[in-house]
Amino acid sequence: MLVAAEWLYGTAFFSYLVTSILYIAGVTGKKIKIENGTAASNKWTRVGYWVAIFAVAVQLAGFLARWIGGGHAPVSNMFEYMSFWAWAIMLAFVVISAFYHFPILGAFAAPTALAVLGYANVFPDVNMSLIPALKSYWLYIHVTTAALGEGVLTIAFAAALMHLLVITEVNMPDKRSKWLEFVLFLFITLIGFVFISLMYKVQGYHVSDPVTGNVYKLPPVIGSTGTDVGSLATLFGIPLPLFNVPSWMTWGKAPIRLNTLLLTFVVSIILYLVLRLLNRKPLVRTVSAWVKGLDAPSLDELSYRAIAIGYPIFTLGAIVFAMIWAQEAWGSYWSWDPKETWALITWLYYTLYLHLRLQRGWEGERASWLAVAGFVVILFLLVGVNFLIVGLHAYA
Amino acid sequence: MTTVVRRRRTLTTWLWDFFASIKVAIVIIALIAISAVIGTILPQENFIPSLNPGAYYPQTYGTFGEIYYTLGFSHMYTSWWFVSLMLLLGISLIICSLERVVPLYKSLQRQQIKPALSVIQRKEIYVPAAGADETAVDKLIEELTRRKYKVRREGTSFMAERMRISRFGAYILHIGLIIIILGALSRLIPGWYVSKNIWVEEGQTVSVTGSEFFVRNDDFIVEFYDDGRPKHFETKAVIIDGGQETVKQSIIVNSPLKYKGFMLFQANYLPPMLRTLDLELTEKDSKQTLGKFTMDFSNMQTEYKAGEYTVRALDYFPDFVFGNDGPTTRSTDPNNPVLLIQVEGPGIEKPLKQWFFPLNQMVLEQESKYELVPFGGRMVETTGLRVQKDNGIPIVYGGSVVVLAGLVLVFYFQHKRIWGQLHDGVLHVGAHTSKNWFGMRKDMEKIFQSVGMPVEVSLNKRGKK
Ligand code: HEM
Repeated sequence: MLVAAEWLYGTAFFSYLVTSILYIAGVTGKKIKIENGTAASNKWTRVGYWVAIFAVAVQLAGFLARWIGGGHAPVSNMFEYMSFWAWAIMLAFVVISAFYHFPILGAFAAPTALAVLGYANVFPDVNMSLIPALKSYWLYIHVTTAALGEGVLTIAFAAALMHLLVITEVNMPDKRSKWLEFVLFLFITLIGFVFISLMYKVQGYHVSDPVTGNVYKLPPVIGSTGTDVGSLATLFGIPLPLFNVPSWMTWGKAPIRLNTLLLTFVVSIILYLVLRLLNRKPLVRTVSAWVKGLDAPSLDELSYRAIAIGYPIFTLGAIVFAMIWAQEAWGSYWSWDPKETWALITWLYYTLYLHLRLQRGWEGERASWLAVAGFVVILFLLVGVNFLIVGLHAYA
Repeated sequence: MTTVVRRRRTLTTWLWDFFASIKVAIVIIALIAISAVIGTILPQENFIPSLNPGAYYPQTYGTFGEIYYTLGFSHMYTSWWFVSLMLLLGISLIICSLERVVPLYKSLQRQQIKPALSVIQRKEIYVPAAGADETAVDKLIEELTRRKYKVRREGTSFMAERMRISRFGAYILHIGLIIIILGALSRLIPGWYVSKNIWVEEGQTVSVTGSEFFVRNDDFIVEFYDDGRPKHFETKAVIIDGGQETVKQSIIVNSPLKYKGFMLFQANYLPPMLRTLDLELTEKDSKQTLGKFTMDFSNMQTEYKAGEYTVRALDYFPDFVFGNDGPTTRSTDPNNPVLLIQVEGPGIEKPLKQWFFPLNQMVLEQESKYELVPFGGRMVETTGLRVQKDNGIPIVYGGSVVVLAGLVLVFYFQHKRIWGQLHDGVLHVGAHTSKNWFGMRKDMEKIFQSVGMPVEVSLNKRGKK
């Protein structure tokens, strides 16, 4: 069963990739017709939609296979949880597209889901037996519902980004187009991180530092204090580490994280520069050409609709079910553990979005920026908390 | 000449307006969110492995930790300003709902069936259908009724409306939030809230904090995976109420024992500890046994009979350490028991004081001719149970249901209104919705299609600023 699950997850990953490529191919050049603010679907996007449905079905089958094979719902470690989030994004995209006809949305939503699924694969995909606190149906219900909410909210991010691309005059090198270019760069950073992590993971790369016992899964450019420079490994013939962390950065895995950060940054900048050179103009101009002519208020409305649909689901899953689970497991429905607190912060963030929208001047552009930043908040809730802050929920 | 009429701003009206403002609500919610973020930067005091936060934070996190602790961020969620912000939020929720819900109700009651034509023409969705007559109006009304609209008619004008309650969803949800806040505050009512850890040794019966009954631990089981992570904790518990064994149940993580509004959770455990020790009194030189007895560490005696001899316990240190002022004990648990004893009996004129180390931690040259030699005993494990009682839980859950119901009403249903007026063969139809313009547009297209008047519906001026 577990082997079957692995195959199914692999197929899903591949389908995400195909969906993304089909949609992006479908919206570039003259293939897409935009009239009166709406775009008609074409061969590419229609096939892309079917592949997306296939991806959702295949991953669901993989999920069930892993459940049966592993004996518990596969939402108990970072790999499983992030994969589920990616699935929720794809599902939300498929469902929302069935109601609202926005073929171009796929060119943004599918790559986002792909990046998240790629990110999931950076984590070890072991099937662990559970510690007692995680053996609860309420936990599964809580985690899956929360992820569904987060999936829909991610669609709001994609639509908001499209909205900003439509309303921003990208040929002017002003502040707004610079910020949009930065958002694209951040997306490339995510891809860059996934790319190098997977590359070394496939090779089974690991270097352990005899002084601290730290294990590097990426070439150790930065070493811990006390490690001799050049003593750990080589990269393209250059002995590593090149230098050590400053002496005040002594806690736990700080050197490893700094190393990952540095490598990600370097790789992303290279990736960005290559794309930028090939493109011969800021990326934002190319991407905004995909959406040129779309009706801006409709995109704003779509983004808002996605939040309006996702917010209640998120409330149910991440707040209410979380309280019930905590009550059953720990005897107290709220204990201000960091993950719990960040779920509340995320919820308050979207509450602010909704109330700001009631104010004059906050619909449209500002609301879209909030929705775009919301993706970062969710990413922090799901990943950042586990790496920077540890609590009861330490999945990783 | 114009006169400016100024409302006299007494303090109460000022406060009322203050809390009724959405801007203020936004600031309060933002402040709560920011405080919550700050509170997650370092672990809160209840999560640190130390009983002395004042020393722990500077030691572990340096100057930053010291500042964090000094500013009170290390117990953010019980700090006076965080609690105050919560209260402000509650007040704001109440006042802002009161301020708006009554006017909303009144204005929805007072709606005109036949507003001026220009009002309809200014609606976001407006369709002028030419070549229409009274039968068209009839058909449209019939179709709207079929679609569960409530239609009111005045001649050739009508107003159709559905899901008016959706407009109240936001207030229902705010009331739910108030209920949740009240439920959380109910912990302050004496006797409503108990949260306490109790330790129960195997075989022991312990009073359950805040209640009239007792719990006995018949057996405690702990299992581990091969990699050392815990797999299973279980306490075989018995509730003793009024001298009767009323409940017998295993307490497992995620599956507490519930009894009379109390819940007992598996929360912790202590590794095996010494409970009883079987001892032999022997004469050192001849190795001759003089008598045997059992020492029960949960029920220490001052003297023990061993054959014809008496072992007198002069002093007892359950958890012995050698402190600045001589021997002392760290706790009352027999982790490292040490006794000062003397042996009395036939042939002993002047009993000598001597130390006895049951766990043989130390060998001392002592003058006494006698010694105690352990030859058996019993270890017990101790379970840590969390006693939890919170009468506010049903209130919090009830509030959550109300919140969710409100959310569904706000976001998954819409208040839709359609007006129609026939003027000179043109049926002017306008529509308005609280949310979801896509849906409204589609609805309108379908409605017109069903009555045989296909039209293209577009949004009037929305967003085209
Ligand atoms: C954590 C606290 C709060 C939550 C979760 C919350 C949630 C919501 C939600 C989900 C909506 C519906 C938004 C929409 O229709 O797009 C709403 C509407 C609203 N909220 Fe809140 N709210 C909170 C606090 C407050 C406070 C303190 C005020 C006081 C000023 C307030 C005033 C309003 C108003 C005036 C509306 C519009 C109602 C309408 O549609 O007629 N909210 N709130």
